[in-house]
Amino acid sequence: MGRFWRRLHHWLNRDRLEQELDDEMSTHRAMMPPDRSGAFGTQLRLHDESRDVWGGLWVDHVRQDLVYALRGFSRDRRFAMSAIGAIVLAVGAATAVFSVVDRSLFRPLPYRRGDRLVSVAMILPHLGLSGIMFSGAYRDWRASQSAVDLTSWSGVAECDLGGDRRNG
Amino acid sequence: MPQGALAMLVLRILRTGPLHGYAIARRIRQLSNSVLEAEEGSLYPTLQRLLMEGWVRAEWGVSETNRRVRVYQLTKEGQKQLKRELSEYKHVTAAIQTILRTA
Repeated sequence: MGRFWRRLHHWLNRDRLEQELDDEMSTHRAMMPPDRSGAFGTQLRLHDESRDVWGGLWVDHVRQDLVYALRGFSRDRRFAMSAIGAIVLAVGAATAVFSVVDRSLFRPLPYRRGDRLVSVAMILPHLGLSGIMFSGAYRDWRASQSAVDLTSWSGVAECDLGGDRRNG
Repeated sequence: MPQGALAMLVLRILRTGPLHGYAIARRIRQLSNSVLEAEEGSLYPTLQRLLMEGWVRAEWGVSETNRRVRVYQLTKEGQKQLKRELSEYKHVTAAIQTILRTA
């Protein structure tokens, strides 16, 4: 039986075991000769020290804190509701944001060799245009370079890489 | 007496056989010629710690004078712990004595 189980056992039987310890200490004092009776020490303090050995006091403290918090909530319902609402919204928003960021930034695109997928466009900042492409320019550019395998032209419409899509 | 030292003495005294609390205290007093008799009750927190660590086992029994007492017995773990503590204690006292002699 490990230390954890001994502690749990002690905590579950703490009333009986503490009573037994008190009996034991009282018997010890009764056995001491009267001229030495002061040499035992303060039984109450020794009892507390013995109880501290086993820990477990935190369980009682946590329960007290919980009861105190719940009482506070039932006393001021509006405050409780707004606090719970704030937590719900915050957790929900964080989860939503994370799942979008996770999909769009961290995970590869759901296509075969998604890491090699590029979009080509011309950027003309002084005209206020970014990301335009003319089909003629695209064909010329595709013919004259070899860095990328350009295979598809979708124009300005949304692009669907059909059959190439991975499941899930 | 420091708590750790008392624990070591209790383990050592229990090595010769099971004893109840009062007998342990009496034994410490006798063997040390009453040099170590600070606060007898502090034996009980120490015994509780030894129980918690699993170094001793306790059972209720009846004393020579027909009182209901808890009898403590060293476990295997306790014997190992005693060996560890004794060798550590020897190391430390040897080091301190070297310093006292030479410094």
